[in-house]
Formats: sequence, C-alpha cells, structure tokens
Amino acid sequence: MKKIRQLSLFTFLCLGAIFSLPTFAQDESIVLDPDTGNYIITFRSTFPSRELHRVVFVPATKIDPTVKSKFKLTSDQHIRYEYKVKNGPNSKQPLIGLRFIASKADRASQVAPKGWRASMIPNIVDTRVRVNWGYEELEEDASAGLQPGRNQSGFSVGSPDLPGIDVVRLNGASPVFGVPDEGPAMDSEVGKQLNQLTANDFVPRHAAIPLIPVPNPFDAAAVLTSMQKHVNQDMVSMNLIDPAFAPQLDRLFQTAIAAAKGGNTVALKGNLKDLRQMLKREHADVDQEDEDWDKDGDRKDKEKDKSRLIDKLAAKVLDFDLKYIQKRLGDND
Amino acid sequence: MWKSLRVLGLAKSKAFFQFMNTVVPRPSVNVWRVPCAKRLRDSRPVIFAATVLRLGNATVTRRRGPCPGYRGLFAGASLSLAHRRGRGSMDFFLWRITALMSTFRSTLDSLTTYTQPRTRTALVVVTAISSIFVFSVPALADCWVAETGVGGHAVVPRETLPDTYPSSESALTAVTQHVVNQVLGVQRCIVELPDTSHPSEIISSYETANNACEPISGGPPTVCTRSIGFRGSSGYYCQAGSSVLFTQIQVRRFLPGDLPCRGTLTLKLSRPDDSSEDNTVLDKIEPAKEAMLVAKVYDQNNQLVPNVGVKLVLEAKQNSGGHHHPDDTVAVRTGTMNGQQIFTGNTGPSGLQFSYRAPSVSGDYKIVASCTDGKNCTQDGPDTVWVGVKGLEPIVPASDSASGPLYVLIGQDNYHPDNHYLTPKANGRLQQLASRYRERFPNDPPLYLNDASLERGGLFDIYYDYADKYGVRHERNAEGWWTPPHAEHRKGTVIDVRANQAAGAVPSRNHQILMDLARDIGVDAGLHSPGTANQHFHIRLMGVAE
Repeated sequence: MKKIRQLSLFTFLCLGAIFSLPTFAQDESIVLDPDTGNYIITFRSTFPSRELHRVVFVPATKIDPTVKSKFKLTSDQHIRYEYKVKNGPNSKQPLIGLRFIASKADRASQVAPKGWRASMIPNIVDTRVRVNWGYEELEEDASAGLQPGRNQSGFSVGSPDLPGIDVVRLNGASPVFGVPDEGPAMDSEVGKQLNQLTANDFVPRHAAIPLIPVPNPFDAAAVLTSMQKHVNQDMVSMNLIDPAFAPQLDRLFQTAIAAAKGGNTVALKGNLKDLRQMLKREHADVDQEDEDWDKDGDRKDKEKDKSRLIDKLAAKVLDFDLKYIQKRLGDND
Repeated sequence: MWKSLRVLGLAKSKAFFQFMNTVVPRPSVNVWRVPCAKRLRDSRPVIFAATVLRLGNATVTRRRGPCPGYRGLFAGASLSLAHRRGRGSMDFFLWRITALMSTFRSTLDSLTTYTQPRTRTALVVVTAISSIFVFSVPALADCWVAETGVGGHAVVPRETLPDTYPSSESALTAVTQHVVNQVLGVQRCIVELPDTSHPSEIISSYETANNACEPISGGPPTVCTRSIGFRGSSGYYCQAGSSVLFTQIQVRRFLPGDLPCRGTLTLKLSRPDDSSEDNTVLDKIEPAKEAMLVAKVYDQNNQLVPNVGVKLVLEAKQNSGGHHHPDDTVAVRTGTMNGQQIFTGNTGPSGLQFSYRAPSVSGDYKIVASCTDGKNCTQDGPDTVWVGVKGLEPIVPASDSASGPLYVLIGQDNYHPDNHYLTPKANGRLQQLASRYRERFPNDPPLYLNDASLERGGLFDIYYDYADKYGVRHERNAEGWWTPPHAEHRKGTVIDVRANQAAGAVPSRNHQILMDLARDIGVDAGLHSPGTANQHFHIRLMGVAE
C-alpha cells in the first residue's frame, strides 16, 4: 500500500514537472550554443510554407565594452558631456554603436570622432531625445567598427540639463538576421523568446548623461526634487547606492528642498554643503577631475569602488549637480 | 378629521358628495356597499378588516344592502382594475386620487353609522390600509387593438390591425383613417343585383352617430365601436333607394399580458448600465476582447417586461474593418456571444446579460435580436459592436524637397485596399526612419512600404495564391480566409518594407545600415523570408513585438 502511495506521488510529481515546462511545440526550440554564443532557433512557420526552419541568431552582444564619461560646466551655463569607449580585448565583435536617451541635448553641439556619425532624434513617445553614435563605414565593410582592445574618444554632446546616471546601449557588428517566411508565431514560446532577444540585443553600461532638467528661470527646489527622485528610484535600482545610504541622502534632500521652497537660502546652502560632505566622505576625490580618463581602468579600482556606499561616478554626478546649484545660488564655494 | 369635516358641515354636505361623484373614473375603486350596517356593528374588527381586504381583490363591485339610509361604504382598491391603467398617465393619477377620496368618504359615512369604539378603530385601520394599497398598486400598461369591418357593410375585409394604441380614442382615430384610406376611390356596390350592377365610387366618409364604448359593470370600457358612413359619387350604391353604406370598427381593450399588447414590445440592447457608445454602436472594443451586454424588453410605456424569451444572432457587416472579401459568416469573423453565434435565453427579472467576445478580426458586428415564445418584439436602439484598435491613422505621402518622396506605398489589393494604418507614435517613427534612410541613401530608391495595419488593425489575412514545393496550388478563395494571417500587423506598430529583388527594394548593401538607423530611433528591423521572393524587412516601429 505504501509503495502504491509512493508511486502515485512520484507520478503526480512527474506530471507536474512536465506540465510546468514552457509550452514549446514539440519540434520548436531556441538554444544557446555555448561555443559560439549564437542562438539556434528551430521553428515551424505559420505562413505560407508551414515547414520546420532552423536559423541562427547572432546577437550583437559579443562585446565587452567600457564607457567613461565626464562632464564640465561651460561658460554659457551648459554642460559638456564627453564619452570614451573601449571595446574590451575579449570582445568577439567590433563595436559599432552607442546610444542613450537624454532629457535634453543640443543637436548642434553633438560631435563624433572620425569614422563615426552622430545623430539626435526626438524620442516620439515622450519629450526626451535619442542621442546616437554609429560607425560610419558599415556599408563598405561589414566587419568595420571599433576593434577589440581598441578605444575611442571624441564622442561629446552639450545640454542645459544636469547629469544623472543611466544606461548607454552599445552593440557589436552582427550579420543581418533573417527568418524564413513570417518567422515563428508570435504567441509561440519561440516567438516570444526571439522577441526578447531582438529587443535586448545590446550591452548596457552606466554613464553620466543629461537627465536632471534645469528649469528656466532657475528653481533650486525643482532641481533638488529631480535629483532626490533620481537617487531614490534610478540609482537604487541600478545598485549604484547602498540601500541603507539612500535614506540618509534622502533626509538631507528633503531638508534642502524644504529650505528652497521656503526661500531660506542660508539654510539651503548649509544643506547643500552637508550633502556634498556626505559624498566626499565616501569618495575624497569626488570633486576632482577624473584622473582615470586616459587610463584603461583596472579591476582593482572597480572592486575598491564596490566597497563604498555609493558608486564613484554616481557620487561625482551628484556632487557636480549640488555644486551647480550652489553656484546658481551665488555660493562659489 | 371626520369631526373637523362634520363641524365644517362638509361631511354630510350634498355639494361635497356631488363633488366626489364628479371625479371620474370612479369605477376604478371597488365600492362595496355593506348589506346591512347592523350585521357589521357586532362584528369583530379583525374579521371585518379581513373581509374588506379580501374584497380588495374583487372585480364585481357593488351590492346593495337592505338597510336604506345607513349604508356602509368601504373602498378597496382592485388589482384587476389597477391593471387596466397606464402607469404614469394622468388617467392613472386620477384613479389614485378618486380611489383615495372614495375611501375617505366611505369611512366618514361609516363612522357616522357605527358607534362602537372597536368598530371605529377598525374602520380607521382599514381606511389607512386601503389608502396605502391604493398608492402601492403597481400600474401595468394595457393597450387597445382595433378591428375593421366588424359590422355593417363589409367595405373592408374583417381584420385585426397589428398596431396597438394606448387609448380607445387614439385607436379609433387611427383605424378610422386606415379604413377610409382603403375605401376612398373604390368602385363599390352594397348589394349587387343582376339588374343594378353599376358600382359607385366612394368619395367621402363621415362618422355616424352610434359611437359607443361599452363599459363593464363598475369598470372601464373594454370595447368601443364607431360606425363610419360613406358616400358614393352618384349618391347611392347600386341599389336604388339606398345611399348609406357604413361599416363598423371596433377597438378592444387588452391587458398587458394579453397577446395583442405584446405586439408593442421593444427589444433593446445596451451595456449592463443601460448605456451605449452612441445611437448605433453599443460598445467599442479591441479585437479578441470581451464586452458585457444586456438585452431587455420594454412595453409601450418603456417599462421593463420580465421573463421574455430572446434570440440573438451575430452578423458581420460586409467589408467592415477593411476586409473586402467573403467569408463573413464564420465565428472567426463574427465573434461569439457566450461562446455561440446564435444565443438564446430568457430576460428574467432584469434582462438577459451576455458576454460578447470580439473576433481577432476588426469590423462592425450587428446583433439581430428577436423575441421567442410567440412574442412579437421590435428591435430598437443601438445594435452594433465596433471592434478595432482606436486611433490608427493612415500613412500619408511625404516627401523631402531635396530628395523627393520619402517612401512609396505598395501592397494594396482588392481584398485589403487600405493597408497602411499606424498609431500616431509609430507613424512618427516611420517618418523618422524614412527620412534618415533617404538622407543616408539619396541615390537609392526610398523605402517601399508594404502592409502596415488595416484601418482598424486586428487580424490581417493577406491574400495568397502560390504553388507549394509539391506544385499544389493554394488560393484564398478556395481555402478560406482569416487564417493563417500576417504575423503581427494588428495594432498599428509594425510595417513591412520591400527588400527582395523587386523594384524599389532596399538593396542588400543597405541592410545593415537600415537596421542601424532603426536602432538609433528605437525601432527594430528584422529581415523576413531572406533569399526568397518575399524577402522584406519586418519593422517594429515601437521596438517591441505587438
């Protein structure tokens, strides 16, 4: 009797396991080839041939890039953003594009290094702009681009908005991907996973980009509120700040915002100093020029940064923004 | 109160009673004359009250007792009479007032007769109950139906007209007009004798004096008759000495539950909260989504009629949704109601609620409603469900002053003549992509834009006519429509761009650049059917699958 019970339980568990598997059609699959990093997609098309097809999807993510960003205030109160990109030596593809979405940017100020094209396009779905740099010579040479182990500076753009941290999307050169017929059915598991692959066919890296709007006329409370939101939502979700450290910053932001709204400039200046000191405690050189710009950056530094309560770039960005507010308030400390 | 009236001299005032008697229609209240006051004088109040209440349901109204000068009058509202009044009408309002006044008058009268305190208390209680009853009687609508040719000369065949009317007068007027219209101009003899067969043309009509409504005893009239006379052109009709040709019409009163009154039932569809999108559209929903709807039956006074059998049938409006091809009757096209194309049920107390599941195909879907169980209903009000994606806009021709047109629209056919619809945002991105492509490759053809979405989106079943690898010919009109459709192209965010060997296709050397330009603006461009005659870019303008 006990055996029968055990057998029943085993059968039940087996059936449960079978039914909990993704609902692939029997002959359809999507498999990552560990040797090549490509995805082998087998699907039965719905129209017109209804035949079984096998295609290879080569992702544009076979790169190991690093992005460095720096920013400085120009004489016209705008911020100049510069980027340097390195395609890691272990990359298997040349790097051919980097893109981000900024809150605002000056089209005329965008600069691309030789061999690259620059473009800036309204984002249609909101008021932000898409800032892009792409390798120019793809037409002539499909293998062209920033080769593994090489770096490229000279990407820059100006904006009236202050920096925040967001994702820069980078992609390597991959062959044009084609699917027979109309491709896999959209509601099939293969179709859904292929959609995921194509929609996320890039390598994300964090960098400083224009994100914090500066209202005209200047409103310190509005800028601080945007910064507070950026810290509490974006930086926390990107793991750039320790969840225990974020509330400490938040309290000071709240006090500063209250002071700004109340027109208490003296108190506001004090709050801004406190905020900057808090950041400086984590990174002593937070208000210094980036010394690593010309270096390639080594892992030791990164590991060192990880032990801090806030990422160094995030701290530098916040310090820059706070310093900007101080300057607009007439405090040149 | 009765004391007050008596003090004022009104309780026994002749003028007061005359006033009471002038209010019509008095028979709406069953007035029961107690045969003898003495009998009641010793009765127990409870028995007395019960007797009166029981009489409330009586239809026969009057009995004269043997006690002249001491009549006990009690009023009870009669359900049967109440049913014969239209709710909300002035007639019914007057009936309520009359009934109430009669009740009070009877009570006053009785209180002067009976002196026992218990009996008086009972009288007051009964009066109160009667008053409440009078005002709580639900009024249901009745109707009048007309018959022609019921008597006199059969100038028109005897028939019962299908229309019903709320009053005898309106019924008589309408049916008179009906008969007159039929008869005027007709060559007619009353009696066609062999030697006097010279028909005379009927040229005019007049009402004869014998209009009459026949009341039932104590109740409202149930049958009214009107005679109509006709005159011929020669003054008489064939038979010498006779110049009168007349016919009778009759209107008969029916209760709401009677068959004739059912002819005025109206069947209406709506959302459960009785609302609708507009005068013709019940609801607007997206393809493959559900909408709750309800069918309700109303009488001629717009009152809900419960428990009516209803049949609902789905029909697709031809060519709607941009599909100018056959195969409109299948469920894939029409959608279903509670899983069926033809749905029947009973309205119950508050209407027949059902779930309409829209098909994946956009279009207009009409729900044809009728009553079952022999009831004659007329469908009224909005009857169509609008299925589609809202807010799609056509891709309009655009050009650049330097390089000419930004794109060329292709792929229209007789089955789907309007195949270039997008959401405004997707359209914006398409303009960006086309513009950037044109700017990058000014010497190559602009983008040749094939299918986007139909005018309301939804399933896009492209026409095909091809031979498979076994040489078997496949053609839509032979194999059926609706499936298999385009992948995506349903929500106005995907468009195909020609990339094969045909004129205007994106050359293969531009493929990588086009994909890169697409990436810049958040668009995903994938190549479909590479290496075939159907090679094209399948472009997701919002960067994600639909």
